[in-house]
Amino acid sequence: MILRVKDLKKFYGVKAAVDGIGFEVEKGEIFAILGPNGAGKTTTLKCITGLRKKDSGEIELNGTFTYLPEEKKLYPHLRVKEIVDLFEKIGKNFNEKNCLEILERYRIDLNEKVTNLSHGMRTILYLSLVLSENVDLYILDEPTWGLDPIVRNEILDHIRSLTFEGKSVLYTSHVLAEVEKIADRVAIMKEGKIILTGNLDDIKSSYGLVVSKKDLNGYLLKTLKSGEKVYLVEKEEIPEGVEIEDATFEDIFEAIVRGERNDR
Amino acid sequence: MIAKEFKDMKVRFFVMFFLLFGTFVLLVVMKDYTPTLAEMLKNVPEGFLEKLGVTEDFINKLSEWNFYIITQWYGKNLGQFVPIFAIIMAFPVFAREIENETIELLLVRMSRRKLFNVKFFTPLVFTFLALTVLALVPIPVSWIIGEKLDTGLVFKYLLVEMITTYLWFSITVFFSVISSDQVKPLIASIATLAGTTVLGGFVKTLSTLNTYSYVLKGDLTLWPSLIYTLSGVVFTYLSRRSFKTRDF
Repeated sequence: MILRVKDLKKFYGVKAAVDGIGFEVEKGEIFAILGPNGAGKTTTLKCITGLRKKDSGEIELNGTFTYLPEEKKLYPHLRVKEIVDLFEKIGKNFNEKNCLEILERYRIDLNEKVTNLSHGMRTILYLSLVLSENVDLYILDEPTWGLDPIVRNEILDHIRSLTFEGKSVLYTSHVLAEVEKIADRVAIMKEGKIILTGNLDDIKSSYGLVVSKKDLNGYLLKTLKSGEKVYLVEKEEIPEGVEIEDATFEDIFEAIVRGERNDR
Repeated sequence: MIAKEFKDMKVRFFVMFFLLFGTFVLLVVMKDYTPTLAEMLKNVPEGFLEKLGVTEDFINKLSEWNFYIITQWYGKNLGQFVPIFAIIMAFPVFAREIENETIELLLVRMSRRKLFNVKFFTPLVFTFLALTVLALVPIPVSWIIGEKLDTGLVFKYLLVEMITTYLWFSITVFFSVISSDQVKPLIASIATLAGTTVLGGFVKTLSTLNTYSYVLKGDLTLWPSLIYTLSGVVFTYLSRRSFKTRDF
């Protein structure tokens, strides 16, 4: 186990941004935290990295880590090469050669000032810096936001390849397809709490969609024009003889986050 | 990291340094015009000048190099700029990184303690260096033009300026650490400087608050020097503590 978070709480005034969450990230695993805006994902990552002080709970980190923030802010007045040089000095086991190779692949001019780079370019620059640090845990907050689909897939492949060397990744994303592609386990957060966690395949196989006119035990996904309701129901709670449809991860996420649970 | 810190402050450092250096050059050039000025002032009604604290003795002494440099450079131009110089060098030190959210990049890779030390001491050392050059420059100039200068008094002024700089630098850094943008620490520091100067100037019991009377007189007396140095230490401690505990 590389990271263990237990009963973590963080308050902003009286509002609980993170409300007693707990999870573990294993060695060589990609663990994704999902959730709507304001769910507490970034606060969780910031508490783990020490950027924000937790109010209570435990964070056990067994190894080195690096962090890619949600806002990929770099020094606008510095040139790309100067940023790379800065990482050479302060980065964690920073591999300059690897970083320069990534920058060359994406044709980022080393003499260009950061302020002149597009949002996507700046994201690639920050990613190239972070992914060139040799650490045990990569904490990535929305790593592919603003990237075009081709670059996004390449970056996801790169992130996946980190686990081949025994590295672990903890990351957040809004793109469910991306999470499905690379995450081993997920946790869905809402209003500071983890409302669902587990292996992706297990989660998908444990839920089904049921169309019914009657109220069912489960999460209401949508109401059809016919008046029938579509419920996301745990398979073991589905009554016998009812027709079940496979739920996609998107269905599960949407129904659970919306949270209109009907307990009959 | 020190190179990056210098890059961050080089514009305001060089602008302030050359502005003050230029002021000194101008002051030296203006020295030749003091006899003419003295003649002109003789035509001004006596009572008016006395109200401003300008006596005939003062006007006559201005033509002496030592008196002229001590009163006009240390006791006026450089002295007046010392707190301003410290404030300008210190206000963005943390606030800019916090405002631009680049502080995250540094904090993930350095301990808060180390980062505080680098960010606090790099601009402070450069400010001290600039002030040392500016405070000592009259010595070689006096030697070149063959004039006498009270070097003992010059070094006294240097120490007083260092103490004042340290005080205002640490006060401003404290505001910089607790702010989320660059404007607040600048306004807060200037307001504090103005407020303490006015209070110290008008209320006799609070005269210690007026750091200008200390830096312009160059009077290295024990109590004000100790109070200002200790206040600087307190603000450094508070800044460090705030930096260690605040959320980013």
